[in-house]
Amino acid sequence: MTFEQLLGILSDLHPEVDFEREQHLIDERILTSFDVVAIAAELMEGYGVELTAADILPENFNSARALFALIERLEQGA
Amino acid sequence: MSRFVDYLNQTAARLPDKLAFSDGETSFTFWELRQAAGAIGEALHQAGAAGEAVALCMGRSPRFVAAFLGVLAAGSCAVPLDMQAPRDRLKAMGERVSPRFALCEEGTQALTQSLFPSSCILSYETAAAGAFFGPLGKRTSGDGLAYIVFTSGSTGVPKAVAVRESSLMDYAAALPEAVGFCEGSVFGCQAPLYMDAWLKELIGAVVKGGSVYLLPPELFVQPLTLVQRLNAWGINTLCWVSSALSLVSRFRTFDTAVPEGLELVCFGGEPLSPRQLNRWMAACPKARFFQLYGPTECTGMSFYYAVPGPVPEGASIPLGRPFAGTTAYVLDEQGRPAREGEIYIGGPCVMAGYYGDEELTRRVLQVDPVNTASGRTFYATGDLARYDEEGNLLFLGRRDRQIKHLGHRVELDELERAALQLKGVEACASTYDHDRGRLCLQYVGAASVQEVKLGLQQRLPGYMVPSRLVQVPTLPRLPNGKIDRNKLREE
Repeated sequence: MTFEQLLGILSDLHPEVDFEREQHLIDERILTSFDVVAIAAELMEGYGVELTAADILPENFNSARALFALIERLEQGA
Repeated sequence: MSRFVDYLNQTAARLPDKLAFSDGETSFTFWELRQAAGAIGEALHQAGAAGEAVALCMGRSPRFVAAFLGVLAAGSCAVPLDMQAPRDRLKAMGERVSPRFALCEEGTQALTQSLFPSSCILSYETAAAGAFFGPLGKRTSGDGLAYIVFTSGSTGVPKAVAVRESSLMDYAAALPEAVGFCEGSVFGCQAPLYMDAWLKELIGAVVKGGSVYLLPPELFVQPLTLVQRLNAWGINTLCWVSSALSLVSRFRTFDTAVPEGLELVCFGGEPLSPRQLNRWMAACPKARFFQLYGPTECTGMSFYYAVPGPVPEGASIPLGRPFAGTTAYVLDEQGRPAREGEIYIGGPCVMAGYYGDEELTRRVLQVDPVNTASGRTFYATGDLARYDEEGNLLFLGRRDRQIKHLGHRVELDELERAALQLKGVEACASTYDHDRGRLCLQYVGAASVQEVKLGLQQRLPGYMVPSRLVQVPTLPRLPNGKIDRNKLREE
C-alpha cells in the first residue's frame, strides 16, 4: 500500500485533521481507541496488513508517517 | 436497609482497610471512602443541598466515587457530567436540570463556574477534608432521586433520565446475586463514570466488598498493555461494553498474553459477535460469561443470560431473563402478549421519569399493560424481540431510529438536527453501518466536509460524530417527499 492510500483511510475518518503534519494523534486524543480499531480493521481487511496486538501501540499511531513505517516493516517481514 | 450508603457503612465497618477504589494513582480503602463521602455529605447538607440536584463536575478518579456517594449521603441527587463533552452540550444538560449546587475539583473549577454561574459551587478538596463522625446517611430518609444521567434524545436535546434511590437499591440487591459478585471480586472498570454503566462496579464494591480499578481510557489504545495491566492488578471481573471486549480480542492479543485470573466477564450495551466472544471464552476457560441487557430508564441492566459455551457463528446471544424483582412483557402493536413484539419492563427498577419533560415521560411510562391491578409502572423500551423455541428472548432491533454505537445510545434524529443547524447544510440523512460499526452522514449544501465535521464536534459528544461524511447533490426521496432510508443504506 502507498502513503497516499493510508492518508485516504485516515482522512476518511477525520477529514478535519492534517495527517501529514500531526505528530501526536494519540497523545492529544485526536484519535480514540475506537478510531484506532477502525483504522486497524481497514488495514487488515482492506489491504491485508497483518497487524497484531503488539503493533497496536500509541507510538505507532501518533502520526501517519509512524503508522506507514509500521506497515512497511510488516510488509517487508511478510 | 433503605439507603444505598447503609451498605457502605456496613462494608467500611467490616473491611475498613480493604482497597475499595483505585485508578493506579489515588487509592481509597473502604474506610477512607466512607470518610470522604461522609465529609462531602456533611458539607452539602450544611449548604442546604438535601433533596436538591448536585452537578458532579469531576474527572475519572476514586474522588469522583466519594463525591457520588457523598451526594447520596446528603440526600441529594447526583448529576454526573462528562467534563470532556463539548461546551454547548454541557450547557444544554445544565439547562435541562438547572442544579442549584455543583461539586468541582481543582482542575474543573473554571469550567464549572462558567457552566453554573448562579449555582452554589463546592470544592471537593475543601469538602472532603472536613470532619465526619459516622454513620453515613443519618441526616435524611425517604425515597428521593438518587441520580440523573443523560442519553441521546431524538428531539435534539439530551434526555435526562431521573432515577430514584429505591430503584438503585433494587438493582443493588438483584445484580450481585444474578451474576455472582463477591468480596473476592476485583473489577477492571472500563465504563465512564458520567453514565449508569459503572453502577455495576459501584455495587460490587459497596455492597459486596469487592475492589475496583478504574482503567485509564488510554489503555484501550494498546490491547497488549491492557491485558498485562489486568494481570498485574489481579483483576478477575470485567463488566465491559461489548465493543471494548472486541477491541482486545480482534488483534490476536491472546496469542501473546491472556487475562490469567479472569473468573467473571459481563458484557452488554450492544450485541457481541460470537467470533469475539468465543475467542474470550477460549482464552479464559475458567471464567463465567454473562450477557447483560437493559435500558438506562430501568436503572442499569435488567436482563441477564449465562452463556453456556461457545456460540455458533451467525447466532445471536439471548437476552435471557429479568433480574429478581423485575417483570418483562413482549407485546404486539395492540398491546397483547405475543411471541414477537416490543419489550416492556416493569418493577421498582423503572425510572421516575425524564427530568423536566413530563410529556415525553408520559409517552414511555405506563401502568402495567397486562395486569393493570398490579400497580407497577412499565417502561416501553422501543426494543423489539422474539422468543425462540427454548423460551429465550432474542433481540431483533429497534422500533425507532435509535442505534447503539460503542455502547452508547445514539438517536440518528439528534445527529441530523445538529447537522441541520450548521451553516451550509441544507438537508441531511444519517445511517449506521452495523458491519463496520460506522456512523455515516450524507448532506446537501455548500459546507465542506471539514466544516461539517468541525461543527458537529463542537455540538456533539465524540461517539455521536459520524466517522464518514459525504457531500451529495441530492438525497434519495420517496414519492411523498420523505427521505428514502432504504436506498440511503444501499449507498
